[in-house]
Amino acid sequence: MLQLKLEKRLSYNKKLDYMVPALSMLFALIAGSFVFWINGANPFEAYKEMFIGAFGDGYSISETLVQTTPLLFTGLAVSLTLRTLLWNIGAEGQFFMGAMGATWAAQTFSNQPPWILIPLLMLSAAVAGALWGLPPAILKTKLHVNEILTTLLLNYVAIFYVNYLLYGPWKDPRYPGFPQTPRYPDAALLHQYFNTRLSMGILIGIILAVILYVLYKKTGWGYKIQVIGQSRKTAKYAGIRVNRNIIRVLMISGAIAGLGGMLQISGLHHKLRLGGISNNYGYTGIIIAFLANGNPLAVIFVALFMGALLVGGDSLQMTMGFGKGVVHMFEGMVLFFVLAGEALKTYKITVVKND
Amino acid sequence: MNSYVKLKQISKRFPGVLALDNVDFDVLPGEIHALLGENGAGKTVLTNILSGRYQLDEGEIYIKGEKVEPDNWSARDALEQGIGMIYQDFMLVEEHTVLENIALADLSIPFFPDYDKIQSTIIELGKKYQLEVDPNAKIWQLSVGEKQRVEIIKALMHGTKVLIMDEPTAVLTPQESDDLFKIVKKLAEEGTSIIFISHKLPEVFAICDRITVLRKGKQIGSVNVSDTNEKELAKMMVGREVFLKTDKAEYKPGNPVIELKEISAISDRQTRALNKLSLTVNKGEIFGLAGVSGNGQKELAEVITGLRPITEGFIYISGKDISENSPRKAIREGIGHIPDDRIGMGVVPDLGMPKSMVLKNYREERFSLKGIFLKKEAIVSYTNKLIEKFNIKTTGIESPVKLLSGGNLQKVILARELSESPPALVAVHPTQGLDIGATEFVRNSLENQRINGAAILLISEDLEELMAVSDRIGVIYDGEIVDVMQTKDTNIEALGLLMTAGKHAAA
Repeated sequence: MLQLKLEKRLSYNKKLDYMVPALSMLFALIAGSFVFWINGANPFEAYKEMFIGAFGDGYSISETLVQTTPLLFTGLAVSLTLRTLLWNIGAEGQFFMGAMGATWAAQTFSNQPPWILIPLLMLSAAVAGALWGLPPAILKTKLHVNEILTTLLLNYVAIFYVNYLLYGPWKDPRYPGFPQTPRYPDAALLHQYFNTRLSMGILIGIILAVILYVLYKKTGWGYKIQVIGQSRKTAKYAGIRVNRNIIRVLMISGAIAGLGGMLQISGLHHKLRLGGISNNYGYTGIIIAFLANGNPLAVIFVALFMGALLVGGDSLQMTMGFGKGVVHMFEGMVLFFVLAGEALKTYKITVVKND
Repeated sequence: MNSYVKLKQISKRFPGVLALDNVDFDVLPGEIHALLGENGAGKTVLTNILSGRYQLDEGEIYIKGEKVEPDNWSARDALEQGIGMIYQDFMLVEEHTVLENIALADLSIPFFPDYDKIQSTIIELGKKYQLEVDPNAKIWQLSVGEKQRVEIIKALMHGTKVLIMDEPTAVLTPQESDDLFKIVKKLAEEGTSIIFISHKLPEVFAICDRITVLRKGKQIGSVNVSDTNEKELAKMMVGREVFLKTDKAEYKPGNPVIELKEISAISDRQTRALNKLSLTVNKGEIFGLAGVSGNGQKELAEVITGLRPITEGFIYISGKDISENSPRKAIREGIGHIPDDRIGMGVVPDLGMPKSMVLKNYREERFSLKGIFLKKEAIVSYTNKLIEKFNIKTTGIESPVKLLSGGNLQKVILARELSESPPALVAVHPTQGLDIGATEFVRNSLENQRINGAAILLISEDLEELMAVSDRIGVIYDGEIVDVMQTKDTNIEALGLLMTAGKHAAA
């Protein structure tokens, strides 16, 4: 009789860090094909449609990159906290607060030239995002309140607050029926290249990922963060100021998500409004960070995959009549397989023969 | 006499290791059978096979002469066949009462346990075997010795015929150990077999009938106690002659290095852990601190190393006031720390050797450029130097330190803490759970530091160790030092009494 057995791995295989997420995505696609099949569609046809939708021509690729940009920032934001074993579920709210901070700066300093105004917007957005990460950090370090809850709940606060601004003080007087601000001054807008909706936001995100990678791998700070993430007790023992660094990490994470919010407005929407600003980017960022295993370079590729899924899903909606739910179903499945695959990093499956 | 359990030519493989290699083992009814061996010898694997937790790869199991199919040998089967095990970490629900914990011994777990009946059985067993314990006390309120008694009662309620005890005296005071020995002997008289796992040879000779020695998964021999002696057994275990008595250099204490003046501190449970405690450790001496665990040793070590604040009093290191202590300050003042929780505090389990070695000094100019960019090559060559100097056995310097054996892991910590020759050192249970070879290494390392002029505070529950390596010994009881003696002026019995009775004994 053949039997499957889980055995603990005695050595750690670095390749698995890449293999497991890659295979997980593959398995999610296979599992997803059953959903198409049950609904009477040819899965190959559907995937082809999605692929063409996401990468079929220059414009589709640009749209995929447009979706990738905010995901890159929320993914990086969450991946930073993941390295310290903190869970920032609040990237969504920090993203909105960043957009809010940018809008405030755009309105307040509207007469400045672009080379002053754009950096000001970025700074203002980062500060707003960082401040949104601060209360959970303080509650965590002073009162041991679980950051998962506080960051999550602050998402709703952020969205309601932006809601209030859009229906009240910041509403565009010219369109009383719509909850949105007036258009940003031109000096606050990022250029869109090649006749597409793509701005330099994606480039900033990639540069940020590389910077984070270097910080993690080459610096004492990255080392410190790693020690804190893997053993708080050891970190304390080694003289690392754990609480101070937890606060720092949550604030930097918030700043990164906030910057993503600013780029979303300056580069794409050109005004603050509620609908369409965030396509659940903050929450998808959690999945991205997890899939990338906290590695910022991997975040780039996973964000691209998720962005393609969003765009491809949209085109599926148009060509084959599947709802938006398909995309979320995929995200869920990918996460499901990754979680299941995690076990394979510590255990291996062996086949045992029993007579 | 026919054996109750017999294991025949057992082999067990783990990936890359042959954990047990053709081992024969049997237990007679009413016998106390010691299982000896260094760490990694295969004692735990053998007992785990016996108790049905591991499946064997090759070999046969016989219960009362009848062969059992390996597939029909689960943990539950073992329990039903009367094989019970008491682990070092007790398997008790801390928030439940003794009674509720013991009710779990009934494998059928009735929806409404008959508590009255269980209670009367507990009291009955308590009288018969001197296992007195309050059935209505919560587990967390009990001493370690009492918890162990609850485990024994639980095993008896199972109808245990073979009781496996994994280093049962490791956590007990000498007096508690003596009580345990009486209980174990009584159990054996009544027909229960005991498998007694231990590192300590004197107690094996005191109570056991037969001894099986394992080394690196192989059975070295099974002998009757009357046919052997301590020296021979130690040789069987290690494979060579061992000299646990470190040759000590002459005792020439210098100036005070660690000085504590009437310090108090609060424990994690918000109770008073240290009570106006004063203590001095001088240059070039090892000060041994004896005490039953939970009397403030943990807090004392944490206070000196800056992990716990003091509520009153003063801490001086080489005359400098560091009463407002922090881990960073303590490291800067040159206080080395060998924590008892090696894997949880002493290292980051998933990091490789280089990052483990520079845990405390990665900020220094020689390891990082302007304190920002780590100098990887410098760190690796520093690591290689320490690996050679401390003779650390590793499969590769980048493999996670959690994969190292206990002895090699402790060597990593020693290498990091001792290589810079700190003027002060706090070592907490530095040899706990280590095999004889590694223990010897740790003790010699401490002795070398002492010769180099370090002031060493050694906290240990192993009185023989304290007697062997300390220059002076202090006894801590209820957060106070009740007595300090020159090692040559005291003995284990006197220390044991001070540890358990505190001031009453000192007076």
